[in-house]
Amino acid sequence: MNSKRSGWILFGVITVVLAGLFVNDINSDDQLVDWAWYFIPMYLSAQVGNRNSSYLLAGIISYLILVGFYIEPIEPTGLNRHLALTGRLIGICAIWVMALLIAHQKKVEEKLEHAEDELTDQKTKLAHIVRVSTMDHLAASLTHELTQPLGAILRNAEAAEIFLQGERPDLKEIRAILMDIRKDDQRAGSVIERMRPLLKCRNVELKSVDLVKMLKETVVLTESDARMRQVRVDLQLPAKLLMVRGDRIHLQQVLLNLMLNGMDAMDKVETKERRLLVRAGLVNSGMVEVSVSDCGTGIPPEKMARLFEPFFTTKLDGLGMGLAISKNIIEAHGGKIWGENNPNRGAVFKFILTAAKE
Amino acid sequence: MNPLPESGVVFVIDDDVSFLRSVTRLLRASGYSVQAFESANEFLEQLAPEMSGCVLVDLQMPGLNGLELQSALAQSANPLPVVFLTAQGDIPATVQAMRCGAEDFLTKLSPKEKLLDAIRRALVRGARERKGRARLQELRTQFEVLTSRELEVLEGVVLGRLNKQIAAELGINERTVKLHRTNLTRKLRTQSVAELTRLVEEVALFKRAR
Repeated sequence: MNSKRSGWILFGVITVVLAGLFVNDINSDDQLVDWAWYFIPMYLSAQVGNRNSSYLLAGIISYLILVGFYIEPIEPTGLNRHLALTGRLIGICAIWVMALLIAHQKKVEEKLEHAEDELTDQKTKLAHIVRVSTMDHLAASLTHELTQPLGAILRNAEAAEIFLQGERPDLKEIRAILMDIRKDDQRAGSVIERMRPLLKCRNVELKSVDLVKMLKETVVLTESDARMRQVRVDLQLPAKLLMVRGDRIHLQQVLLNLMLNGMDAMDKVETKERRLLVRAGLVNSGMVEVSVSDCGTGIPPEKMARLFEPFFTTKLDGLGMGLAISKNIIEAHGGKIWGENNPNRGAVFKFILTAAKE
Repeated sequence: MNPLPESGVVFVIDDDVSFLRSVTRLLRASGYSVQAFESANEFLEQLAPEMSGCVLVDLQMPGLNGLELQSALAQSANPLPVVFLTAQGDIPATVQAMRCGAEDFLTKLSPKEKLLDAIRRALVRGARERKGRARLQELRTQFEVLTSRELEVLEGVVLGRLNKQIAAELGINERTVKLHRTNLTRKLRTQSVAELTRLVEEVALFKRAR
């Protein structure tokens, strides 16, 4: 929108400059220098417009230079006339060379822009794939979570049907059944609502995000997975809001990656000791730090340096993209992410983001 | 409701309170007596030998899960038949459960008819197995009154040996063997060798020795 408007403004300026130069050209008696000013609008056109507009402008300017020659008030004569005409023809050639150069430059720029768009597009798609594969990871537990309320609704409905076949149905019981059905329906709905945004392919949208709320939601999302794997998830959050500027879904993706990684790391640990600690808080100089700490086997020192490399994984069925994408997302938010081993046991992954002004 | 031919209580165990309540309602409405538990441990604590019926259990639960409950139940004095319910199909778990003698393995979204049918079969089987266990217990107490010499003679008899052979084997008089035979047929209240053999088979008396 903004660049379009400034394009129009520049277009207007160019038109006015052209008209001014033309009037100046035909009113002065200097045959040699006046047309040289036409390079200025040509230069201006390089800032806006595309290949075609620079050709168009070159055409207009060529025409104006020639017309300027014929309607000079004091027509030169003899050798001067030839010199003036040659000079103008050279000028026209120069204008066209400039137009070609601008067109070439434009072409390169367009290609570059296209490549950049494509890259952003690819990144969005990749992030989506990773997110969907994370969802796939969660799918088993989410199916479980969905089947519970759906099964309950089914059994309740069947029970109600049987009750209604009786001579004097117990309306109080049937009312209770309907209330339970409604509750379970809402429960199923909220499960779907929680996973829906994660399945969408979308671009980054920067908004104010409350990290505390986001962390709580993410923990709920992983709850059934944690229960199945017998991992205890502890949340340590500040009492007040923690606002950052960012994309909620992408940040949630990072947290999901870190939490699921943490749970994976504890697969071989005794069930009693499987504990995941998710913490968030303000650190000095207006930064927010989020950390996910596990009690697993820790990161082998030789693998520490490669953790965030794409396609680097320590898991048998890992894509090796989780941490790479996470790093991408956090850095796109102007933050930093890193992993280290806990002093006693397990590993901790942390990221920091700039806190937003409330 | 039609009176159901099967007796016993359906013990329903599920950590999802809402599902537990709904399935309890359905089974009660279908004429069964139901007891609901929110965890396997809670159920095992209350398990007593005189409880008859079957177990309907969720496969996935925190703490003791369905499969673990099945094996705990199998080792207990009251191995009630188990019907599994699961939120999603899990083939390895299904195989294990069926191998360990589960009556059925259903998903939570299975039609009512399938569920009620499985419950009915489990109750019938539970009653039959209970009867079998009671009979076995009764026979065992009968066999307990036999002396060790009588048991040795009995083994010879069911193996089809002649009195003479048994006497030689045990190094005793043939007439003493006859005496033991009369005593043990009287104690076991049997009329023939065939009946004696059947009883011995039923309690699997000499299986381990052979």
